[in-house]
Amino acid sequence: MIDERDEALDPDEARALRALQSAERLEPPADLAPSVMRQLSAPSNVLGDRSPEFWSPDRRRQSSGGGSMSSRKVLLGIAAVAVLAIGYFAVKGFPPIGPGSEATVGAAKRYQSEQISGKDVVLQNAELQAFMQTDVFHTLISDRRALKVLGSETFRDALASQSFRDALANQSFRDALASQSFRDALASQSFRDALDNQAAKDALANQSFRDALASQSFRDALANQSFRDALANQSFRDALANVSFRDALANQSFRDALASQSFRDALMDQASRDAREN
Amino acid sequence: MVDGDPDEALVARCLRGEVEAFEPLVARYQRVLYNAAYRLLGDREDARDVAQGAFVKAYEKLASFDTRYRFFSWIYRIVVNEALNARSRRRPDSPLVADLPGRGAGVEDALASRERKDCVQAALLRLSSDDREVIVLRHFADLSYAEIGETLGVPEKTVKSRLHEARQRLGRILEPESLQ
Repeated sequence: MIDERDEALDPDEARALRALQSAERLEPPADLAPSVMRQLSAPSNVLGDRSPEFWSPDRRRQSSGGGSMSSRKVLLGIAAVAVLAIGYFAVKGFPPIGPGSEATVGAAKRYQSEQISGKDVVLQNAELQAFMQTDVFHTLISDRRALKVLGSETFRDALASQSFRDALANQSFRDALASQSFRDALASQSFRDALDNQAAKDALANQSFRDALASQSFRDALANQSFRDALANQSFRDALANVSFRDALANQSFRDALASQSFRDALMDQASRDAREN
Repeated sequence: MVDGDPDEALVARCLRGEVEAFEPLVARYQRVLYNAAYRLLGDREDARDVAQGAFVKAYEKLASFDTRYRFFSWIYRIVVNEALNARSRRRPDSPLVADLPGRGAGVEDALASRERKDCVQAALLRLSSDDREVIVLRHFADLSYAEIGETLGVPEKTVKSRLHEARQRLGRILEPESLQ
């Protein structure tokens, strides 16, 4: 708004004022307000209404800096997103889905992944509901880091894998969610398959392993059973912590070599591993 | 009438657990905050994301809101912080500054055409954050000098001088020579 106080004192300011006066004022997206309100309302729809005491300002002020309220909202928000992920998944196919299983999810539009409410997701699949009752699910929605990935398509796709869902029970696996390379790796089918392997899941506790996941060749190598088996070997996992070994992983030739059966066999050889570590 | 309730009354109701009392606040400020976010970031989708995130965050943190101040001043600061976060999350290949009209596109021509909108936005994004902010608050959030002062935590006099200097710099960017 230009009023009498916005007077130009020189040509530069006059030019700016003319431009600002004519600059476009945007209308906010029509669904902005509804989206906000859905997000605020979603938690109670998902996890049930809270007692009046929960909402009491006194209660919130008694908590340290309002952190308790925030934490709860974050957790509830995560729950909402998780429900969306699972609900979406129910549409896309969440095996095994029995007859009569239905789910309703709104059209896939940007930002709606975190705006879904309980009203928008109708879960009738017993397995889904059972999953939501598990400790794994509750642990998952309590994990702040998980919030960032729950809404991603990759994550939703990964949920199709039973091994992935099982892996969610693994603390190392959940810790790994904080790793970008790990999240990228979730898009790899070979990586998801590798999660059937206990050694691979355990290896996720190893930071070097997570770092190595940034390499496509490394992820591809996970498709190989002997390579996955090698992960069961502590020396091999330790080797991932070895700078030389990791440097070697950064080398394209070395990564290409991982595709070689003979090379992977060599990795299984203790003498070879020792040689690399030294 | 709920929509006519003052901000502080709506905030108080929210704090009592009436989620729906937040809706008039969203309706009241969504346009100005969305525009402010857009002018700070230069991207409509990012602006929507930031405005939406700011409302949700404001609700979550409502207990920490000091009712001695204006609700808008408070949530505007949240928008600015969210905008800064959004900018830092941007991919390296995502240009922060939109392209200005190319060589030969004089400012008068640009101002007279559709490009003018892009021209203003691109010029705004070339300003420092402080300059851009005070211009956004004045010309896109339509705040008075006093309100801007409260929002930025500076005296009204400082707002006037800062705004004048910011507009001068914006005007220089909009000079035909600088667009070539």
